[in-house]
Amino acid sequence: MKRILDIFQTALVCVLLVSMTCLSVIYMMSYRSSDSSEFTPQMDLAVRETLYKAEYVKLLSETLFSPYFVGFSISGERMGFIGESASEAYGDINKLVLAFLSPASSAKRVDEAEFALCMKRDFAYVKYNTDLKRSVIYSICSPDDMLNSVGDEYISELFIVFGSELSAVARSSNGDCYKYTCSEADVINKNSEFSYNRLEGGYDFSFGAEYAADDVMIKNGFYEKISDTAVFFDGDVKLSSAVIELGREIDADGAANMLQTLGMNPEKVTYHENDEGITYFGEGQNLTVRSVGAFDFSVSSSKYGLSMSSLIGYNVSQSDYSVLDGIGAALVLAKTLGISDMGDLSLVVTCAAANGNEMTIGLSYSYMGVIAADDGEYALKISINDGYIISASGFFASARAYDGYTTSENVMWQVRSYLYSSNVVSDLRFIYKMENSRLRLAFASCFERGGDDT
Amino acid sequence: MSWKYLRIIAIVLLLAANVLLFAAVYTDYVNKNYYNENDIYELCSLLASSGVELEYDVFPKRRVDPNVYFTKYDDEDIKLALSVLSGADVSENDGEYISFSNGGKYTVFGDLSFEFEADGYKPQSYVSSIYESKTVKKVQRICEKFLRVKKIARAFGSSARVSLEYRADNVFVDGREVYYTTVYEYIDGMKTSNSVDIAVYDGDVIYAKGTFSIIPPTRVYSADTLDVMTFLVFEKRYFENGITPKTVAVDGISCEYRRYTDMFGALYFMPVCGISYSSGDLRTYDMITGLVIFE
Repeated sequence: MKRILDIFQTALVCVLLVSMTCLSVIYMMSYRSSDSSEFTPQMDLAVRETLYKAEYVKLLSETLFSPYFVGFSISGERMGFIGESASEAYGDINKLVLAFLSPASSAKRVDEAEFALCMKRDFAYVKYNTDLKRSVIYSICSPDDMLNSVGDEYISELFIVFGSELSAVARSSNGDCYKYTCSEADVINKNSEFSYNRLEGGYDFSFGAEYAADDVMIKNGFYEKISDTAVFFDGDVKLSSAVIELGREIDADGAANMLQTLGMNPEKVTYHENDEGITYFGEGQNLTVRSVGAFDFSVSSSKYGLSMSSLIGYNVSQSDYSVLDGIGAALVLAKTLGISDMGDLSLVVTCAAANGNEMTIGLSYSYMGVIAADDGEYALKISINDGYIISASGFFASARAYDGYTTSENVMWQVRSYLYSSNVVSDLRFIYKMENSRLRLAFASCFERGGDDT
Repeated sequence: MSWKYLRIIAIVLLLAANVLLFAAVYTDYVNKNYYNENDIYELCSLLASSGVELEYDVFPKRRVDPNVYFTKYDDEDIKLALSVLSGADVSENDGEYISFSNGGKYTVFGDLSFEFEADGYKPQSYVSSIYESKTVKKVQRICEKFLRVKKIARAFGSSARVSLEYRADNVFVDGREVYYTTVYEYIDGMKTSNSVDIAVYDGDVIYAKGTFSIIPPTRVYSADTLDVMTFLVFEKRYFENGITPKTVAVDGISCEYRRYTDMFGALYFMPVCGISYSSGDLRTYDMITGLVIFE
């Protein structure tokens, strides 16, 4: 019995020793450093940026950034396109544009004289609807590289110059010029076959600097007041027209939806009604819905604004939003407000300007690739400050195609009229005016960088 | 002193040491896995001072320690997954992956959501709930067999413990003896945003629609996450700084893995914490960055 007790006691000591060792190990393990996190907050933010971009990227389409004009000059023969034909012609040089604007390309600043020289060479020329950042043009052409950083210079027009050395020269509406060279572009060019001369809707054209203006126009400052690259077509331009409907009836539910979308509480607003429409007042915010189907939203300070993150989700740092994020926010807002429901109209980006933490984004209606602007108003224009939308304005319109056409008439009289009334240098472009429930082609000064008509 | 007495002293000392160590390990386990009762009550009163009502019972008592699950996938992976699921060949048509098998059509869409529809299936309104455990278990077995979660995980070499949850109070039947249920997916014991609605008739699935890990995660990253109390303090600050002060009541707090797919063929399960209010509002936090997720 005593021996059994001895064995039991010895066994118990062993068991307790083993147990103590195990418990000690477990206890020590629990205090093991756990700061070896493999998935850091920075990785999380990078993933979310991709995810959120993926959401609004669904709304981005190449037509939003379609050029106003694409022209070719090869061996002295010229052919230029606007509208949908311009988009098709852009397809001819899309790969070259992408190569020149890619991170692989080298860019150097040049003076405007070098840009002007391009007109005398064999070239392909692109005129965008507004100044676009190089990174935006590149991202749209190459969505897989959307997160790559490329240069942030603004580009409103671009010459691809053919010859012994292939190069591209771009200019912003401020007159800043850049020359791009890229060895990859040479390879692409050798394998390219341009099909623009098989496209319909092409016109011979000349630039403003080359145009043979008459004495009256010269006397009134034709070469001083009109951009050297303003495009003048040889002959009348004929484009499809459409039946246009301006405005939209906004009932109580519609107004509540607008208020909510813009971050105002429909139950907490007060309102004032007059002949022009209704103005809703929230704390630091107001929204005017005019009976003609237009609206204006503004806030007294950015803290009452609509946060970008509530539209596009990504809220790493208010100052980290890119122009593409701003365009994404505008598209999400346009969709939520119902501006995107516009029949045969589509939206184009006509302002995408950033300055520090401030951004202005403008979307305009377009029909068959040509801007349809009612007195230069944007379909939606938003101003962003420190990641908050501090103002938004726009109007509702929709169009229905019909078999009618509109022709550019009296272009030179419109030019003369512009010369008499204007004191600034401007580009002149074809746009659709919304008149008498129809779209009518007009030749007018157009959207400039910063967003306002000149 | 004899060996006998030394042994008795050793036993007493070792017993004491074991008890102390066990207590330390247990306390540590409880502290790491459960919230302190007093802390919860203090949080409730802290929130109440800012107009946020939080009932003690609403607060989850168990802490969570989630990871991030990830995988990359391409067209071939989707085809492989669908072929394992359907047991038949897969074709691709305009971004959709299709397979015909088991008397119906399987479709996997670009966002990895999934649908199965048996030929001639027509949905009907639910007429009653089923609580009879034998029937509920039978329906669950059929769903489990149909979704082939483990088989798909094996095909991809996934080590994530993907499981499905069936709720006994979530089985309905219509007049044609078609049973309807929703199954929820869990990864390593934590709920995910994945769920599949399933209809069963005569021992076979005749309709299924939703998302589950048809492409299972193949990599797991450890992550330092913020805890639920922190998010409630954020909520307190949010309501204090709100433009319009108001009193709100917290209705529910839940942590789950939210499934995301990006445009480059990556699939993530990332931990989020949702705080819902009796007003119907819901605010969701990214548990890694502590930022609010807008949806």
